[in-house]
Amino acid sequence: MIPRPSTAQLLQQCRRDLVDVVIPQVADETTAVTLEQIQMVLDVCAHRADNEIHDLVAETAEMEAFVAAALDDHPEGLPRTRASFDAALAQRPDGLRTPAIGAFHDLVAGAFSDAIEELMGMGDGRRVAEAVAWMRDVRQPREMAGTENWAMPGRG
Amino acid sequence: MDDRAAMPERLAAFLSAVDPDRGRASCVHYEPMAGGYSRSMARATVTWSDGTTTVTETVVLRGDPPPGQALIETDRDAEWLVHQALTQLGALDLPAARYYDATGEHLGTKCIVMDFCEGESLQTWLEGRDDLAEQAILLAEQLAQIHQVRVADLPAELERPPDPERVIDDLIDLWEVIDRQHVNNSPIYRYVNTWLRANRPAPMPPTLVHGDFQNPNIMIDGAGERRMIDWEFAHIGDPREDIGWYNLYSSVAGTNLYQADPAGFLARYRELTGFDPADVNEWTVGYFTIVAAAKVAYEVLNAINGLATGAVRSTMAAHQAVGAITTGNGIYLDLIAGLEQAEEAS
Repeated sequence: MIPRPSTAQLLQQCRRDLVDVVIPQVADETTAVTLEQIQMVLDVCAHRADNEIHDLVAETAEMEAFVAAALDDHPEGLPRTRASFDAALAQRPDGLRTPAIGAFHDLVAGAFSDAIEELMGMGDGRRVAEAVAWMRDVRQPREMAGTENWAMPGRG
Repeated sequence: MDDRAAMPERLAAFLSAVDPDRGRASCVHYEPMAGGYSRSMARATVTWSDGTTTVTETVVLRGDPPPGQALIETDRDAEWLVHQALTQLGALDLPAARYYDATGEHLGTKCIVMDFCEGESLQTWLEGRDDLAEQAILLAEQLAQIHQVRVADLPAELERPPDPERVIDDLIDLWEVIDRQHVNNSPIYRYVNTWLRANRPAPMPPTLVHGDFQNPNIMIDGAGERRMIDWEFAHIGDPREDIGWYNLYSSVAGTNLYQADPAGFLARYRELTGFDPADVNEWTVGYFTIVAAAKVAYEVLNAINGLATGAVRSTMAAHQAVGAITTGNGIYLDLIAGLEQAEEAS
């Protein structure tokens, strides 16, 4: 691997040329909108390249801890959560390749979703509030990071 | 529709065939338009000549993008049905729907030909304005006009909800489908649909719903006349869907007139429609801001799923995946938190 320039830097360089050189030369309205969308995708991808592995691993661990705690609280009460969580843990990857950790993240997120639904169904407001606070205050800022320049080009 | 070389001749032949009483049509200018995220659009200048008089007009073509490239899949037959019926009714300000290539044999895709609206969209017109509360009232009046169209006057082919209770349930069910079918497990969608089901408000009598009521779909000309465009999501449903979708879209894309003066907007809207404050209030609008997003969210997430599985090749889907979806997720969570606080306070 050649770490520098980083993937983010390479993407940002391409994006800069797209914005400064290519788009101003494009007269066709629909093509210009597509290029604007591409430069915004590149911008987010640059951020993602720097953070994707860290965020996937961190988020998976956070969801895993929540589901484990909820199952401890309700040893008999969350049957679907327990089944999906056990199925997820059986698929834990042993490396850091993005597709593998992404697939594991997805399985744990499925168990986390089941936990939210079952906890809401049984009226465990404390745990539901904890899950919602995590989605709002931890997960959502991660999802939004890097989208500062995102907009809806061509609308209007 | 993007073929600038072939389309003028095809359009002229289609128009001449479909409206022979106006004489022979020639297309003197044709250019694809940006501005829609769902359909292919083009603007054309057409000259009609019957041998003695010549009339020049500008029309807009609205058709389906090539397969696999659409961000949102909607039915052109259904759009034509509503748009044409509303044109004939004359109860709303909208560009007249004129002709329809129902098979795509003439224009290459099923395609509606409608009048061109002079002016600009409300989205751009609002930029830099400081009279947003006043504009909110005008928006409420325009929306009330749509919701006051008599359902009995709409085409019989337009589906009527068999039970008003089902209107909200169907939207919640769609959220459940989104949760189940999305290529990623998203705890937010599970939370949203579980919460929506547990907090459903009372239904309202169904009305005409535009289905994509937003500033970019309102054209405003130099005289201030407003015309509602893009009827692809029109249906008979709960009128609060339109207020909720407006609120969500404008929170993502900017200049939210509803939020500029929610109380004023709702008061004027209720005054014109006669709807009860128990049904139409800031809480129910908040609820519908989430639940009504299901229709467009379903389509956009389908395109994003397709991108992930390789079935869709759409830059627009990639663009939505990295911004619109995440922004929407934050809005749903914030709204539910606010609605729960309001409920506790009351």
